[in-house]
Amino acid sequence: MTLKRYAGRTMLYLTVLVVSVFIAIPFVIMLSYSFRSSHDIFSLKIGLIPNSPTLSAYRNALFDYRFSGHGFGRWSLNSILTCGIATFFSIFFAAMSGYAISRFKFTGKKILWFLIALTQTIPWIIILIPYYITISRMGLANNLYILGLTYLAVFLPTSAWLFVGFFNNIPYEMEEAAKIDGCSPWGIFFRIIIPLSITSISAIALVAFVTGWGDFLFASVFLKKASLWTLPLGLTSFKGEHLIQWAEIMAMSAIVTVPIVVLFIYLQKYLVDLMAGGVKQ
Amino acid sequence: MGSISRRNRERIIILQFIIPSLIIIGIFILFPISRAITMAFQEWILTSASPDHPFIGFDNFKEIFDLTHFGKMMTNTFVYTAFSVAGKMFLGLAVALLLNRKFFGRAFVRGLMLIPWAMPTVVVTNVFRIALDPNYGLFNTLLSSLPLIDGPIQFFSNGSLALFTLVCIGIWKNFPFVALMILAALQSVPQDYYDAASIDGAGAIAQFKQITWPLIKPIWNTLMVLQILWTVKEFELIYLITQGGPNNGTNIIGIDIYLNAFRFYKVGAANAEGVLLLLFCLVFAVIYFRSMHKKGEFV
Repeated sequence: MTLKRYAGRTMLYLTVLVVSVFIAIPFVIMLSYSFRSSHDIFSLKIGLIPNSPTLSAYRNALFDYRFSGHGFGRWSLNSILTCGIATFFSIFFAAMSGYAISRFKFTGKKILWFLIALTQTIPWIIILIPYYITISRMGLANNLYILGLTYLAVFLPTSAWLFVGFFNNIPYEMEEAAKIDGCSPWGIFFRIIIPLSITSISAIALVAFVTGWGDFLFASVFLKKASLWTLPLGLTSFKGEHLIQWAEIMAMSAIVTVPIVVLFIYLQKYLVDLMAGGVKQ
Repeated sequence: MGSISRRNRERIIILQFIIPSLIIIGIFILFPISRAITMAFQEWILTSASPDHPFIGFDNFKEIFDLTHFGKMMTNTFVYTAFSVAGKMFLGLAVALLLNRKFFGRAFVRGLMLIPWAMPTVVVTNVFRIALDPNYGLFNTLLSSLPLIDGPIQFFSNGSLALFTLVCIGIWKNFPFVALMILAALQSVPQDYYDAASIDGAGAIAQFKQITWPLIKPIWNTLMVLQILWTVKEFELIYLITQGGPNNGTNIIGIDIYLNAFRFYKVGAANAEGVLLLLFCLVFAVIYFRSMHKKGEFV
């Protein structure tokens, strides 16, 4: 019996090991390549551990790499500002409408909820074509404000969808008490609901922010000037005549990815609960 | 009188809560969708200077049906979606069941699961492009050290192999989400059920069939519909690796719409394809909404 148990445990840990390697290997490869020189990557026998680890790729990616005169500094600033501002407003509006759908009774509520859920199912590419034509006719393509506004619209429905699930799961009693004390709906929303749910709000904000942070579709259509590019466009701009600077690409990729991964792991409980709440509805 | 004005005040407050979302959804989502549908029936050639776009009936649809690669593109879309979704769902279920067991380092593995989800697609595609490179990639170096293979594998220069590789990359990127959602459902199954079943002598398979599966089936169905909807429109993952090539071997509908609209400037044809995709998505959206209704959790 103990032997069988022992064999079972061994199998379990072997499976866990295989699964872990499968999940982590691309991330490990990214880090492994980022600590080399591009020259080293093009040596024919490549291993997972760099022979002579170096930070030169990070230095090049951060300070030296330029495309039409612009580089990491500009693109990261564009990305952070565009996604950050869009996230702030979309989370704010989404929380408001999510709260209304979860707590109030009003005509047209089902229609609003249906619209929000429907946008989870509609491919953005369909919306992008007419939208881009209108924008470019108005001479507003190549404009980061417009991209930010677009991201605001892209983030909003998903965030509202998550907020409805979240608010449905928090008990109503405290608001009831506040209402009896004469607190207005706006007062309840700002003084009770928002302070209480700040971690979950940051998790929803993270989901929204990451959508824009990794977006290639909208950015590639909207931004033709390298001075306006966001990081995903910068990441796809490395095209050498003979030799692609893979070490630099991986270094920049690591800089783009690691903070997001850390935040995801930090907020994992909230992220999973929110998503599960959203899917369950 | 007093009660009427109070009701009106309440209405105004509710309107304040929802008006920003209503405006944004109206301008940025409903309006473009209605435009996309009308544009599918109009003549749109961006390169011509003519400002008007006459209605041409189903000509745009005829144009896309007549494309030589249309059949291949639709087959690719179907194959990509079917295999990708199946892979994500079954691997997701398997890993969720694994993570639902108790073992040392479980929290760590669960943390690892967030990596593919958090990694931007642009980064994922770059990593796989270099890792699968026939000459310099780690995978080929690793594979060539095995006795089974002679010569490096050209992952992206043969259509079917390229599509298969992309399916695998898509599964890697998205199965953790499915697994974590199923895991959340599994953890809400009371342990007593399993304890009682063990006492009755039910084995692991019987326990799964009798207890686990019925309880996670609703979430499984919803996840599957969502995954179908999210996979069929795949764009970035494929575009950034193969751009639909070689020779349309990995061209699926999302790619074709993008290329038609923004590379070949055939906006009418792109919108016609968009309407086809939209119809497909609406069918599954209806299934999705009906499942929400059935559970009675609809607001």
